[in-house]
Amino acid sequence: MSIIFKNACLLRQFINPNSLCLTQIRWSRYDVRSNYLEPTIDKKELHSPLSELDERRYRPIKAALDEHNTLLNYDPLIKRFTRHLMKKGNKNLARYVTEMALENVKIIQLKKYHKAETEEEKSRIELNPRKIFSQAVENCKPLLILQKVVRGGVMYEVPIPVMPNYQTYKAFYWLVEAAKEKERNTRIWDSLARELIDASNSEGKAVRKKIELHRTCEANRAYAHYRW
Amino acid sequence: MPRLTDIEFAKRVVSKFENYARRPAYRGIFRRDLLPKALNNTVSTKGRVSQEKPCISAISLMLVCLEKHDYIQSRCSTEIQQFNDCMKKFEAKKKAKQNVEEKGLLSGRGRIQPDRLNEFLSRYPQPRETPDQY
Repeated sequence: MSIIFKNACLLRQFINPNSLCLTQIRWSRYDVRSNYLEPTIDKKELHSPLSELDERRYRPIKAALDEHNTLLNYDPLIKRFTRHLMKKGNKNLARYVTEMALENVKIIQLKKYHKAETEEEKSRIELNPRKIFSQAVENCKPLLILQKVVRGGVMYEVPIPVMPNYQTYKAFYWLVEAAKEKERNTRIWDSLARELIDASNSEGKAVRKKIELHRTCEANRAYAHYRW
Repeated sequence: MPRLTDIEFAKRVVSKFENYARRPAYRGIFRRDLLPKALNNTVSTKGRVSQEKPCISAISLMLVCLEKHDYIQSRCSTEIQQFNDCMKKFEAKKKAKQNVEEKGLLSGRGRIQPDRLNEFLSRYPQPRETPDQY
């Protein structure tokens, strides 16, 4: 039973035998020693001919994920966000939450658009929820982070540059954290949509958290030369 | 299905306060010097912490600008751009060094780096010793 409770995928299969369980549960199935390459998803790259010295000719390649596709609305950032939201392998629910949030963004922006009277006001309103999402994530990315360093028995918090991968993670974390601060009867996608729109205008709780971190970085600027 | 607890109890009589005392440290079998000597498939990577501190002046310039303009990033776009360019340059330099290591196996000092050595050892491990050898 413990196996079933650990993996929501298997539990869903237990309840509904028609549902498929395709998720890789744990560990990579690709051996590190055989040097697997990542699959190519870009359509242009797939159609272009391979050169003779291309690595893809002689090295094994990983299978594409089931979420990879060549559709126009394919967005790796949103895919990553769904993975960030996911709990216990229940991607179905995570996907539903993100889609509902984006839909709510669209509805809120459309309401604003129809309320606006002049053409100038209407032209300013962004209606594409995907663009709003990427803008919101961009505005929440921190420039620096703090790392704890012990020097002579005293602990200092040293501001250091961040890798882009961690920047996006931090932005996601703050956005979700801000969306979770809500009343009990409001849904997560409603609060998330509002938070996304606020963050795209560089307002709201998530952006404020980023500014707070920058402020502490400024206070600890003197320790920047300490070794990390 | 047989219960393991019954089998376990059959082997020895459990006295009342057995758990109170500490077990003797019986390490005779696992002592290293008694084991047959064999080479490991890893080397230590202890001294391999990067001690470079890139773009400190760019960081301080950026923070001063941010403080001046109430932490609004759009007003300090030039400083942020400079910082990002500096970081990109540093990353490119790091990557170039890595590429040289990968191609020629050797770093500037003329030694194989431990990370690289571990990679190779995992790909081509030491041959297993047969029991006849000892």
